[in-house]
Amino acid sequence: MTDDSGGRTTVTHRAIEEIKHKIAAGELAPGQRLPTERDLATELGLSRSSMREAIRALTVMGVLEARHGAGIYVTRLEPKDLLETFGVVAEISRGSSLVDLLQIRRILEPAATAIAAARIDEATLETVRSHLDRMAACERVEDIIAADLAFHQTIVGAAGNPALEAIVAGLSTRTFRARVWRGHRDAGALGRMRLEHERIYRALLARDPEAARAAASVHVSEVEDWLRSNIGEWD
Amino acid sequence: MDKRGSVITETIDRLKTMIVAGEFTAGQRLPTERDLAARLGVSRSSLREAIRALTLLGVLEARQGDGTYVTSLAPHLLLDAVAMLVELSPAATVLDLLSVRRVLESAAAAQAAAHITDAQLAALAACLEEMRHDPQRGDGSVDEVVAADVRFHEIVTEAAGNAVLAALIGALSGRTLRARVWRGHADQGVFARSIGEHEAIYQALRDRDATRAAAVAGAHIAAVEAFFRDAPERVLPGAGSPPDGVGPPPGPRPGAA
Repeated sequence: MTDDSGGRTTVTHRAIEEIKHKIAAGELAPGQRLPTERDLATELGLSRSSMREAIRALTVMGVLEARHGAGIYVTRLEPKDLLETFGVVAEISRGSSLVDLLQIRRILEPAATAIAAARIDEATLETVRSHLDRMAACERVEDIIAADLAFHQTIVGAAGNPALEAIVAGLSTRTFRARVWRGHRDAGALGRMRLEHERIYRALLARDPEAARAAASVHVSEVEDWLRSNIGEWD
Repeated sequence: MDKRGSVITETIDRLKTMIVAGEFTAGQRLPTERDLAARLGVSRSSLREAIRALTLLGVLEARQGDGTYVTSLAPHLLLDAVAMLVELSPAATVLDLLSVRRVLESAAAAQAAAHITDAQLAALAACLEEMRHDPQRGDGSVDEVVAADVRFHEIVTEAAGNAVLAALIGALSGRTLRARVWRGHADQGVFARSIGEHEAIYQALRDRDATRAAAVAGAHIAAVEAFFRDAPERVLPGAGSPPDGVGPPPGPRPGAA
């Protein structure tokens, strides 16, 4: 940091480190209330304003949360709280980073689908089926996107790893999906996507992890190929 | 949060949205504080705090005497925050994150088998040499071994040719956690096993055998997972408590002022 507020930013970094250290050391547990800004500042020998900034930054990161009229608390520190920032990365990315991100989705989503094939229960399979039916019945792109998102989220959720779920969710946010679907709806792409989704569902139904992995991999690769050849329009 | 606090949070969200929408792009200079505050309908001091929070997240940067800019938004800048959060995760989440890392490292190793250069292979061999030092016999320090381990994995992910993947694996790896695992290994006398796992990855890459590289890289992380699952307190302080039902109930506790 090199501007005139540089010294202050460094102090804020230190304040962040101190709070982070308290959490990592277990002094502050998930869900616990933070001491007041003033007490913390006194304890750590830092200014109240840097303490306030540190608290704010950690709130943005999903580490702390303000509860109305009750002060500042450590969040549950669940993956979805902590990895929200990752979604921002996906949304902000352009050009080659976008292809890189899709490649990561091509690694993670097939793995999650394979794990789900071994773990998914009947009720969740029903839910997956209902999203599939909804996708086939919808006309408006927005509705198809919503059903598409729900289809994949339900499957990845069935893998039973919240951290994996949070990262995959960050890789396929609604905005991101909308961009892909909009560019993609011509030239029989819709029909192809439907077939790919159907294959994923059938592999889950058969509880066949390898088939599930392959079907999910083909599906994400298809999107990746399309993106690669249309990347100019995205920059 | 107090009213001003929620104004700042909202301002942060709006600035993020503007960047996502492409109104401000990577490397672009933001309008002056006064203009931007007027445009967003917030006070200059609220805006300043919002900007500072986004600076800490690697989204914005202040340049001396030249105002505030959007950073390059390079993956490693943005994923720094993720790395920090990984280190704060409770025991149950650390295990989940490790299995994500297993999937990613395994795929990265397969990719690397196809693309790795001779220079990168030589660098891997050098890391292996470093790792063969045995701190228990007074030969080198655990820190040096940890540094060689970090470097080894960096070279492999770099060779995979996906900058975001490399940054994500780096963020998920958590340097502190890695150091604790090595220390735990030292206590258990399993240094040799871990080095053997790295050797297997190196050999598979040298033979350009993508499936073997994926398998041994996956097995390497799986071993860390097992080490951690067996006794999380060896690796994570405050991890003695059971993964379920930790912490007080969620929601406001009006009495707790």
